[in-house]
Amino acid sequence: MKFKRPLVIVGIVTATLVVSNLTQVAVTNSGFSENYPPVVCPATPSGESSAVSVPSTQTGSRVLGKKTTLFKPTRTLRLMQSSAPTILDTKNLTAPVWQIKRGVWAGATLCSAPSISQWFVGGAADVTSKGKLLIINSGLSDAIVDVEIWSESGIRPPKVLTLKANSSVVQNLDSLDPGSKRIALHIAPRSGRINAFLVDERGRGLQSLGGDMVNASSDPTKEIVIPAVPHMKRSGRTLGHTLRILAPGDVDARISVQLNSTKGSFIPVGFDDRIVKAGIVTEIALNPQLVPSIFALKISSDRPIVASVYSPTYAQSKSDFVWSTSATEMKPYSLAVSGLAPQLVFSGEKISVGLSILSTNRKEKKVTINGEGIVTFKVPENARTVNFIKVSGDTYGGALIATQSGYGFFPLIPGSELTRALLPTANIRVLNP
Amino acid sequence: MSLHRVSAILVVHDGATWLPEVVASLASQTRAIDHIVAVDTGSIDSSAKLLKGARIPVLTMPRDTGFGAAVASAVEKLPPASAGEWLWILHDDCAPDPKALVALLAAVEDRPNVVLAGPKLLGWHDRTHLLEIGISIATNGARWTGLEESEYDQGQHDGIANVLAVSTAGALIRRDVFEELGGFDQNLELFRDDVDFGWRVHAAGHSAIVVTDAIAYHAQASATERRDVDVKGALLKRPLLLDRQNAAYVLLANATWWLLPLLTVQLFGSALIRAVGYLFAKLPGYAADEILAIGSLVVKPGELLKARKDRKATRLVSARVVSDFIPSRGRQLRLAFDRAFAALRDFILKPTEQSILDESLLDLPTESELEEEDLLTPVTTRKWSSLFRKPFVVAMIFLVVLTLIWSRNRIGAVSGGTLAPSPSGARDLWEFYFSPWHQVGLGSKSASPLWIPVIALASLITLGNVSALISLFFIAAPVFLFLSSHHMVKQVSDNRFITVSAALLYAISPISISAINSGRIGIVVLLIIAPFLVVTALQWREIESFSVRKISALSLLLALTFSFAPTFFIALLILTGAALVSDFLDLRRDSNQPLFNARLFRRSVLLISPLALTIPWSLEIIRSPHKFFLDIGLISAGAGPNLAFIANPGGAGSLPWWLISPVLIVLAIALFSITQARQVATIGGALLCIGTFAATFTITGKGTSTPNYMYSGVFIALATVTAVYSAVLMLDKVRERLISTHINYRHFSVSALIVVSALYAVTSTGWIATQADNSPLQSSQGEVLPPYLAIETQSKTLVLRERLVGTTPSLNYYIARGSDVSLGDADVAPSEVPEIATAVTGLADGSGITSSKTFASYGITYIFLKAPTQGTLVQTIDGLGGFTRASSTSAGIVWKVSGATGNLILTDASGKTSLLQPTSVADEYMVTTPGVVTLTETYSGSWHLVQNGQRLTRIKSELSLPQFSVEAAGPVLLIHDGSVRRGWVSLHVIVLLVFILFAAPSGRRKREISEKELA
Repeated sequence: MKFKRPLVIVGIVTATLVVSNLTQVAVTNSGFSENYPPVVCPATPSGESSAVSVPSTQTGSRVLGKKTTLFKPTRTLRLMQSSAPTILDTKNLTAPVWQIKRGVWAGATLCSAPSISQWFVGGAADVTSKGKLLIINSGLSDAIVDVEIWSESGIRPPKVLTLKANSSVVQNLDSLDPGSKRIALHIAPRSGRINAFLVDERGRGLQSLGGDMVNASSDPTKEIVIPAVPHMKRSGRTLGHTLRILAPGDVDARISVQLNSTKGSFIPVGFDDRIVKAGIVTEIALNPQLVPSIFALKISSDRPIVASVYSPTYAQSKSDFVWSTSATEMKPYSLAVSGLAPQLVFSGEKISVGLSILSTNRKEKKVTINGEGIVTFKVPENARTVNFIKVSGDTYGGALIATQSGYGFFPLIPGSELTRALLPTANIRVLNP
Repeated sequence: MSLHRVSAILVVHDGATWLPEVVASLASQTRAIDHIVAVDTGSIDSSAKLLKGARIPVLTMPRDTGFGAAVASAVEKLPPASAGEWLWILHDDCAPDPKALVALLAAVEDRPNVVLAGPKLLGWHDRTHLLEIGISIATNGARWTGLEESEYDQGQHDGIANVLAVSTAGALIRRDVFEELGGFDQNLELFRDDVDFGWRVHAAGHSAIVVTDAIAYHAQASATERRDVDVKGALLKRPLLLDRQNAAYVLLANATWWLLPLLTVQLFGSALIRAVGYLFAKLPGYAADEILAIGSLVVKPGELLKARKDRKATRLVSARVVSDFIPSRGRQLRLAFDRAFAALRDFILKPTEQSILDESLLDLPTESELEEEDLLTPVTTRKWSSLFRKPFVVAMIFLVVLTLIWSRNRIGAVSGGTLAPSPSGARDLWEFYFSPWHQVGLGSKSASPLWIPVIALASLITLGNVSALISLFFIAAPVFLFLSSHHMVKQVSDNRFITVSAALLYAISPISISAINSGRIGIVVLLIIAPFLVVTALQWREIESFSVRKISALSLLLALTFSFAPTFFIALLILTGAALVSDFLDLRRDSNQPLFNARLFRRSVLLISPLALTIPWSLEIIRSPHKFFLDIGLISAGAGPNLAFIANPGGAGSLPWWLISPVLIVLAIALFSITQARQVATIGGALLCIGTFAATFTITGKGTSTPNYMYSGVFIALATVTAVYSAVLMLDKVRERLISTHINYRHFSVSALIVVSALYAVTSTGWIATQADNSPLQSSQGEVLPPYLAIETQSKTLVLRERLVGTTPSLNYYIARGSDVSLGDADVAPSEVPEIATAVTGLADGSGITSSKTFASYGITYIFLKAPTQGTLVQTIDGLGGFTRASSTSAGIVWKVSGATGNLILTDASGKTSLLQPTSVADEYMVTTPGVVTLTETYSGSWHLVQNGQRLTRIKSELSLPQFSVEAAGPVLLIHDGSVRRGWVSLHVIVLLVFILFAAPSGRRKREISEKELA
């Protein structure tokens, strides 16, 4: 037959290609192990008390410094923090810490996973300072940490701290840069699993001027959002704010600050195209003509910067201050809120946040928050966890807590993010240059 | 008129063949011989009759009389010596020229110190063949003439020259000196008596000369085994044995005392080398002669001592007086090199019968004709530019330029892709090959592959510098590919444009580019060898005509190919299977059982021999058949079936998919050819389909546990070479066929083929010039281990490294033993240890609380995370207990594993572990307390721990490590018994030598060589 040979050839070729492609298996050169690293909660200094809102009574916890590396269940939703830092296995839920000096001040922060870089914009090292920097090495090997200190005088040589395995160290702020009124810190571990927490407590003689826990910010960026700044009135007078800002590079930053409030967005007078000197911690007074409320700041810069806002507060007849720090863009995550009932503040052009609130009686309530500029939501008293199911893009969040002891802020960011660890495979090729 | 008196002595022994001419030449001497006597040593031919007929007085002696004894008897019978009497010694196979005697006498006339003179000896059959112009002896006993092999006599050595000695054939010796020195040494019954006599002449203060005006034609009947050697001392009547024995005797009897040890060593060494050479030439008799000759001297030292005493009695000057005549080692080496080169040239260029005897030369014009022709013919000279019109030259220049551009990042020691860095010298490779234990990973007892010693041997070219060899190989690889494929295709077609184009396309084919760029030395070697295999494979059908030698040589070539490309065996298996099926069909058709058996036997030998020639490595492959599909060197993935189908294996360094080569289209068109191209293309197409199918599978091994797509390089290489062959077969003379026919499918297919080929040539060249320098194979790739870890040769370091495979990040680890990976390491790498894999996983994901303990148990001292690092791995390791940061540099971060860890770990009764410390004695360690000693190497029955001369009991631990129970404190010796490996290597060498022996060209005994050839 004339076409027999071509047909046979085509048949063989087709069969080869079809069978080959059908039998071909996908090959992956890398496997991953996904987990949420345990988070570290700060120690409770003497004379203070702190409570950690945990997501479940079965949340594993262990106290730093003990030999055992086993996690034990907390058996409570509100863990009273001991004098040593605590490591919590909260999985994908974020646990906030509420720390108070009864009747003197209050502050909030998040239990967080170890970080390779933390920035703190807040605190002082002058005569009023009673602040402390707490550095924790939750690893089982020794750690070396560089503490870089900026002030109104510029940058100081970094202080190198060595921490033994499974230990922590407390540094008084006034010992880091004595006399400085404005400081900003960068904690950069060379080795070890390091967490740092900053307490800014101030007093003049025996008179307390309040205190707060300064939350850590991420690395300097050209755009910063401080999502929740409480704007209050005392004795019929609105209380002013101070924007502390640092451009840690070598070149001055040109900044522009936009204020988002319930009355709209605007750039306060003097905050457009303003120069911030490089390497100098700069403070700018911010006195917006607003009714008592909450506002957010969006700072744009041509150079990477870090910033936060110092705000005096007056709530439940108690004067205090709060450091509102920057937050990264919100993503869906879960927050434990047992015993806190915070006021959630969302900032963004078009806000759409879907919440699922689980109460202590295990009832779940879904809430959708929509708005523009800035939106607030008060978490119910009996809430146990708040699950941010859906978050619109370019939305930033913060939480404000007011108690009799004082006022506190923490950013709405996860304390521990899902970590994808590459699983190693044997391959002699690693020894081939 | 000469006043000399000449007495000629003609020694005859079965010389009837040459005697008539000899007698005639003596009779025709222009200067008459004064007295002549013949000595017949028991000839059994018509020699005696011939002498009688010539009226020469004959002295008859027994058949086993030696030459010296025969001459001595003749001298005794001569009239008493007179002043100026000379003895002219003549052989029955040596015919002097009529003017020989005159010339000799004229030369000695005005040279009173000369007592020995000899003629220029020319060949008996070819009378332009220069045999001797005086002789000497080399320090290895060789007879030294100072002439080239078969040197043509053009008068280039003419004149009178002082020499050590002259042949006894035609030697003129002053009688008084001859008698004074005692004549020829009768221990030297035949051969070398001339050199010995010459040496003694010089030692007695006289001289010897060669007179080239005197000519004699010598048949060298005894030396060329034209007649039996019947002398009494000739053991087994073997001329070579007698010659070698006498050569050693001459040297040892005449040389000064202090030279004797060196001479003895030289004689024995050279005899041994020559014996080996004879064995390879399949002349065991000659090999035995060499050894027996030396042996026979050793057993008879009395004769030597007596000979030395006799010489001392007649010696007036030092024996070193002859040193000017003994060839220096340099001259000997130069001559040996020249001869070897000439032999190699003849082997490669294979002079044809036509080239040996150009008949046109027989009809040479006369001198006057030449002059006339010169006047009429205009002077023409070929321009150099004409060279550049030759396609071969143009293609070579193009390829060399392209190669230089291609290799611009490969100047220096290269590595990358599948090629590991080369060791510093060939010695390291030899050690690697012979070593029974390899310090790779946790240790490996795997057999080294054959390609290791092949590369070590080849590095002789670069004076043992392996990295230089490898670099040069990869730089020159395209040229090698071009030349080998050109060698193949020029046997198919005379069309230079087609053959050169085909060879060029082969050199830049996708598989060639891929193999070179990814450092696949095995595939490149296969690509170079494959064209030669194709030439042989064409005769595959009639394999019954293959001689044993051809089968053996082919087996060696197949084994070499197999050792460099293990997958080649699968192709060989498939092709052999197909051939056997064809043979079986022939058997059913023709019922020729003997033919079938002959083919079956030969095919089986060719299939099995590559395995036999590569044992024990091949046995390991047979035990783990997936290794047949692994290329040598580091593993590197192919790109799956679709690329393989277009003859591009894919993977790192390969051409992109859109550069489609003409291989597939050639094979497709050739399948419709009416020529032999169709058969070849069928094989090529089948191999391409197999390669396509094979490319779908994944494979692990060679120190990697990650699955990789199989690299179908071998199948694609073979398919490519068949495509090139088919294309040339098809295109040869296609022009004539196309012109003579109307436009049909052939016109279109040939056009398509040419267009695709041209397009591919241009685009692939462009790709090579612009992109290929980014390929994995590069020079100066740096080092993985920083120097402070590289010096820890006794420590194990777990190296962690993040790599990008394509765009996917991958984290890999391996255990380093104080150095980066080296050539061959991957081929012997042990398989992954599950416990270590678990511990490393724990290290990465932070769950490995006990990882450090596991590492310590396996003797891993350091963890090295190679920079650059991403993610939180550093933090994770920092957070885990059991690791202490040792350093953090730009090279990476090092953690020291806590606890006692090292090569030998002692666990005492309480469970406490400590590291055994070495003593000052090599491989000896001090055990401080009884307990269990764990060796942190892969378990092997060859590991032994010896205490007080006793081997301690060895068990396999839970971690599959060797453990030894030590009952008492004290030193222990760690031993790895390599007897098994040595046994295998010995067997391997024996098998290899047997095949080489059979494959080597057979030598012939001198008596088997025709007179014409001798001439």
